[in-house]
Amino acid sequence: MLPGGTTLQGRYLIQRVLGRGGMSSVYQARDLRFPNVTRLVAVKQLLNQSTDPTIRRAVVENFEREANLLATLDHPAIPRIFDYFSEEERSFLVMEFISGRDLESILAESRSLLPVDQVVTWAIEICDVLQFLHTHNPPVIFRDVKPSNVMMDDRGRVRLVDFGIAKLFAPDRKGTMIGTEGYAPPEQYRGEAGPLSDIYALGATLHHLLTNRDPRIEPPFTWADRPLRDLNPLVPPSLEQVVDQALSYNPGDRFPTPADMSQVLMQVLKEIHGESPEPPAAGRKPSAGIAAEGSATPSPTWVFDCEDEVRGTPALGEGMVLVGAYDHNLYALDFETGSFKWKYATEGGLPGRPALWEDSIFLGSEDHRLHALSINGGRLLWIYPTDKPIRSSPVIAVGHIFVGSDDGALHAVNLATGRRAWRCEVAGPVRSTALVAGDRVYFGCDSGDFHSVTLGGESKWQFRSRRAVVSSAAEANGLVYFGSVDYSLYALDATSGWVVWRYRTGKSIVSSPAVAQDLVVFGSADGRIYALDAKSSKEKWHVETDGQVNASPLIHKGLVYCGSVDGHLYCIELASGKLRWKFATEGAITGAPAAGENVICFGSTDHRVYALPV
Amino acid sequence: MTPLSRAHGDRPSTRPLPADRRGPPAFHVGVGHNIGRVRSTNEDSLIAITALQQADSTLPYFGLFIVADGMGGHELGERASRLAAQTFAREVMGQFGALWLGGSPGEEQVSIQEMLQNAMRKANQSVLRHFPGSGTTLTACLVFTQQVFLAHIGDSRAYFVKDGLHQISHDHSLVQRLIDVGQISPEEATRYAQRNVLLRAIGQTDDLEPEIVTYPWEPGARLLLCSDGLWGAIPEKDILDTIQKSPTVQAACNALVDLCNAAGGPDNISALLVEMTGGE
Repeated sequence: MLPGGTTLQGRYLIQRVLGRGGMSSVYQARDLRFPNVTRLVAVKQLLNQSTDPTIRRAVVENFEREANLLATLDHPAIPRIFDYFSEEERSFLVMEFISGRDLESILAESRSLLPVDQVVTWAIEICDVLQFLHTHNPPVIFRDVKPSNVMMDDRGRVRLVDFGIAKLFAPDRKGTMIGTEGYAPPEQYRGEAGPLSDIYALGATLHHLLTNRDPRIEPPFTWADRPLRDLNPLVPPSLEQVVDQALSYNPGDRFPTPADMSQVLMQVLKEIHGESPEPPAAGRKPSAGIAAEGSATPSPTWVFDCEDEVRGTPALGEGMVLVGAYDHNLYALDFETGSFKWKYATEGGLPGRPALWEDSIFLGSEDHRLHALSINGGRLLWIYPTDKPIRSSPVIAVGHIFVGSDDGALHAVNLATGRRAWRCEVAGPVRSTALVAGDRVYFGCDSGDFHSVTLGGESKWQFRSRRAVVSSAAEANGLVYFGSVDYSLYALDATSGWVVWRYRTGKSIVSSPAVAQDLVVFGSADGRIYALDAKSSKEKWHVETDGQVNASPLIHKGLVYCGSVDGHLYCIELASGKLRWKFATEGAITGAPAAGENVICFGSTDHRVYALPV
Repeated sequence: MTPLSRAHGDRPSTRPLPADRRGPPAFHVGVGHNIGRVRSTNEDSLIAITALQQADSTLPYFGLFIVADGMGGHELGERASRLAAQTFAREVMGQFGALWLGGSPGEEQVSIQEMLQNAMRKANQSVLRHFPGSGTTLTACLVFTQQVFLAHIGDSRAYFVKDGLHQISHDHSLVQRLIDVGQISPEEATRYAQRNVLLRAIGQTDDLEPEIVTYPWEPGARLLLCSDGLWGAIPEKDILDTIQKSPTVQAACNALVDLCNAAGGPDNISALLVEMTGGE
């Protein structure tokens, strides 16, 4: 580190540090050979820190060789070399001083994305200097094209700085780690950089400048995860193609020379300036959820009007759709035509989903009762009373029905007789639907507790979340998943009740998750439908809607169907998160859809039940 | 109260228990730890901790298995791998171990994956502070209630071994990245010159991105953790054969070490082969 005021060779007066890298330091200095004017130069000092004399010598020789080469380069974009010397075991290079800012600083200081035509103009100038370098005798590979190595001087010209001088070679041992350089092509990691590597690095530089996404902090070579036009809709398709081609993994697929790339860029520039105007991509959202071209929203096969909101989820069986509405009725509709078959009146609202077993239907009502009906005509078989409204859906397993009630208990009722087998008292209303998996029953309650009990009603463990658990659980591979009003989705180990992971969303979760293909899908009141990796909790995708997503999703044949308070039923590809279509109703959707072979049914608070072909 | 029993013809809303494995649970751990035939030091570290309690708890057992492969000249690698493995184990034993022995999780129960993430981070900070310029891989499996909680960074590997060898960790190497993006094929990878280049490891940067994933442990499967001195020296088919044909897990590890040395032993060889019997 040279202190200010030092003079080198009796000529260069060091003024201040301009920059410091791993291999070198650069100072601003004044050339005293011209005493009557202030002539500034840049003095680069090689940092040669190895203790091994062989390595030290090799590094100096390398530095000298590069300096000699640079002295022969004559191009407006390349800073000129004036002098090279060694003094007291240290080596120095004296170069033209460039006043200006590098592209990385310009990008950082800009509040919005940089103008596309500006970036393209820079790219053309960079291509020009690369072409010069590659066709020089001997050819020079820059090897380090990146925004911080390109400066814009005070006259608005592009200058390439920091010619990979004196690269310290790394010892060839196991574990040679190259950090995520981001701009370097695959072959450069193998030590095989060629002229085509500069083209790749230029492509990476352009990607960074156009999207403001630093490739050094992303996993390398994952350009496909960040398509240019998704991040910057003002980039014309022709420019995206140029950058994609420059970023080809295979050097042979990139532009053969910088001149070729420059030519195409000039066409792009003409296009941007109006010779063949390309309209900006309007209405595109950066997150997943771009409607596929030509994917039409289906028209309903039939629609049925109830007399009040349909908040629950339908059940399908015996050629019928059974769905409860807030007008207190359970409707039985013909599955094919939606025509009315019969209805059964209770004395309270029906927010849950009916359960079916052989010829019987079971449903809970806000009239406090569990009703058992015959599927033929809706004839009442028996009634099981609880002490408060029932807002959960009954679940059938091992010859019993499990249903939670606002009376603070999970009830187990014998299927055949309607007599109580047991009730498990908990600390608050039970509005979530029980999950029976293995030999356990899992359910949450409004106090925030989530319980695991045996089939005999004995408590095994209990987990406390901070707010109510209205969501029902789903189980896969020994983990149970459920959401809480405390904003989180929880994954618990089914045997011990320990939290394996939790994932926080922006608002309450009352939606019940669905699990398929190692993905957990659910909605949140923050307006999103999420898909997380079931094993690691990493978000795979999410889709934004315009209202709270309190409904639960249905996964059917690789597609996710989920309703939102914004009135739409969304159809999303499970694997990719791509939105296929969204179907509009006139009221919020709070229940899940039910699937038949080629049809899905769901209700809306616009009082209707819909059947859509899928 | 009427006891519930399984009715015939249950609907799919009930699921059968995994295969019956009654009896006290026990881990059997085979260890392979050999310098190989080329290296002058062994920079790999291994830790295997197993615990059992028969006290009517929902957590009768747990296991913690760690492999760390260090790098950096002049014994730095050895020290880095040991420090990382011990720091990680100490963190996990301190938090998880205490809870396992009946400690109370408290209001704010940290999730298991968060706990593993924090343990990785502490291991990373330790290595950065004490042995700058060195690095190590770290592959750890915490096992209980038939789940394997994997915390992993680098190119040491974890596999399930049953009818085949099923790799559950993802190599954080340049080569694997190139395979993932389709630039080279797995066959080309075996001949790739810079196979050792890692993209992620302990001791490299301040922010760490380990892989933390949970897998169910299939009954009858064994768990294998190993450094690349094993998986890189002999083909997977030979690893599988050796394990399936050996009478005990220790014999299998001995045989694997011999095979690697017979193939030239280019690197340190480390393996932990874990089998679980009994348990509920």
